[in-house]
This record gives sequence, C-alpha cells and structure tokens, in this order.
Amino acid sequence: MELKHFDFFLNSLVKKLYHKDKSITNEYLQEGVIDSQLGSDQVISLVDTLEPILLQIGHSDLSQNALEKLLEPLELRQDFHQHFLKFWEQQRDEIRSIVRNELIFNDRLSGVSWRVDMKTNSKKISNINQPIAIVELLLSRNQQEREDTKSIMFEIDKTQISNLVNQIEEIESLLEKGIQQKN
Amino acid sequence: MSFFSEKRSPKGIFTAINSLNKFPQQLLAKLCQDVVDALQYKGSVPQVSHYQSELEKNSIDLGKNEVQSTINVLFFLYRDASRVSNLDQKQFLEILQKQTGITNQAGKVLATIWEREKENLPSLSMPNVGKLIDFKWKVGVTFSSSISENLVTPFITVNISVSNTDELVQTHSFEMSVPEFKEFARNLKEINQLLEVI
Repeated sequence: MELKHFDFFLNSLVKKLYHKDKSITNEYLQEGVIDSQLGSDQVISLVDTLEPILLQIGHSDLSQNALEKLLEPLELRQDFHQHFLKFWEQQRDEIRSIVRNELIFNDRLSGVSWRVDMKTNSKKISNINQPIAIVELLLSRNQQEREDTKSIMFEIDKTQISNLVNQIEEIESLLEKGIQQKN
Repeated sequence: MSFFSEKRSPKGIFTAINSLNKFPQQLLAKLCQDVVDALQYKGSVPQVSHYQSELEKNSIDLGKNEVQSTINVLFFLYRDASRVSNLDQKQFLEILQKQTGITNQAGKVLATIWEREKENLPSLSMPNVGKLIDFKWKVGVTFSSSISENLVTPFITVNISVSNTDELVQTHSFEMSVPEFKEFARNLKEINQLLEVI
C-alpha cells in the first residue's frame, strides 16, 4: 500500500463518518485502491482499524498528542503515521464543526439576511423617513435526512437593534470569559 | 404607496422609465435579472458604472443619475409587484403600459422576468413581516452527550417572539454554535451601524 492509498482511505472514511456519504462502502474503497496490492480482506481490516480512531478523535475532539498515543499500538509506517497527524491537523476544525452541529437537536440558525428600508407609510408622522431594518432568519432542522427550513421575518428599529447589540455584546464577553477559563 | 394595486406612481417614475426605454433589450434583461437576484439576496446591487459602460459600448449616453434611476425604478417595481397577490404577466405588463411611458419592447422584457421570477419573490410581501417583541437568550455549555464525550462547547440558545400583522405573537427558539453566533452577531452589528448612520 502506498501513501496515496492511505490518504484515500482517510479522506473516504471521513466522508462516510462525518459527511454521512452513503456511497462510501467497502466495495467503493476496494475500487479506489485497485492499483494497490490490497485484497478485500485487507481493505476490511484497514477500515476496522481506522474507523474507530477517526470516530474517537472527532467525537472527543482529541489533540495531536492524544492521536499520537492512539496510533502508537498500530505501529504504522513512519510516513503513514506522519500523514495521519497532518491530516487530523487539517481536518480537525471542520469535523469539530460537524459534530457540534449534530448536537443541535432542535432548530438551528441556517441563515441571516436583512435589508434596511426607510419607512414611507405610517400613521405617525414622526415615523416617516425613519430607517428600519427587516431581518429574515432561516431556521433549519434535520428531519430524517431532509432539512426543513422555516423563515421568520421581522422589522426592527434603531432603538431595538441597539438594545439587541448590547445583549449580543454581553453574550460575547461571557463567551470570552468562558474560553479563558477553559484555557 | 402601491403602484400595481393602487395605481399610485412615485415621483420621477416617468423620467426613470424614459431612461429605461433606451436600454438595448439584452442589457435590460440582464439588469432586471440582477435586480431580482439582489432582491433575493442572491447577488449584490447592480453597479451604475458597469451599466453605464455597457450602454456606452452600444453608443447610448446616459448619465450616472439616469442609470441610477433605472436601477431604483426596477427595485421599486419588482418589490411592489411582489406585494400584490396573483399578479400575472399580462396584468403586470398592462399596468406598466398604462401608468408609465414604457415602450412595448421594454415592457415585455420586464414582464418576462416577472413571470419567471414571481414565485421566488413572495418572501418580500409585507404582510409576513412582523415586529420583534422579545429576545431572550441563554448560554450553556454542553459537557457530554451520547454522540461525543469530551466536546466541551458552549451553545447559545435564543428565544424570539414576533408579532405579525394580526397581533398574534409567535415564539421561535433556535440554537447556535459559537461560530454561528459570531456570524449572527456580525450581521446585527452591521445593521446597527447602518441604522445609526442613516
């Protein structure tokens, strides 16, 4: 097996485990390494070895050191070992994002769009020519392989958005503190 | 003020349509499409300079203000049309022809784009826009789950209450991961800055 085959396995298994790509079967993997000398038994054995590791590092957001420890008993070829570490370093952020999104069981915010208008029709004269923002939030939920999206639209004026931003800043400083404590 | 339903024309519409009439057909179609895309947040607002230079290539000389007015009038027309329920292509064209000095050719271009895109624009109809009544939030840290063990990560949950035009209040709740929250925050701050400046 060459490095390119090992890389193919890593990438394909990530697609299967995290991107939920159902086309990644053992047959697919076998076909992908047809120019190697790997037999189907070896492919299965490799999948059985790599999958648990890929699952663990992703779901527990393990560090490079932790991955090293996991790889030790495998006694991989030096270049494969290094490649795995580099692979994890590149993929970690994206996989962490995917796993985090899996933990949002209810609605998640999948989009924000907005525009600013000048109010031109209003009962109150003082409201005319006041700017207001119209915000659209797209909320999505994963329902059995389909994604249901609903849209919520509302208008918001200067005062309201200013209050909102104050609250946003409160949340931001909370998150800052939380991150600092963790570190 | 509604053009398509109340037949009320905003000031300057005749002049703007006059400039619109000078556009070559294909360029006009492209401009209409750009405006409709921008209304769906699929693209950015059409650039005056771009259209000016395209017109020049066709030996048509329109000033910056005239080109801007054509962009403005298209935004106005498509937004207004999207607020009228069941406005079909024929009605769109008829009203346009009666209320403005639009040429047959230009009118047909606008109406064709309307026919194609009208299903995609319903979210702009005003009746669905409510008022923000309440905004509640909480920040929690998930420290364990059935899916992942050590993923100690904060989640921000928001509860917003929106009242629609019938005074009915609906409450929606959603969660955001930290990066999603940052994007949400960025958008709100941008809106805040804009509203302060205007």
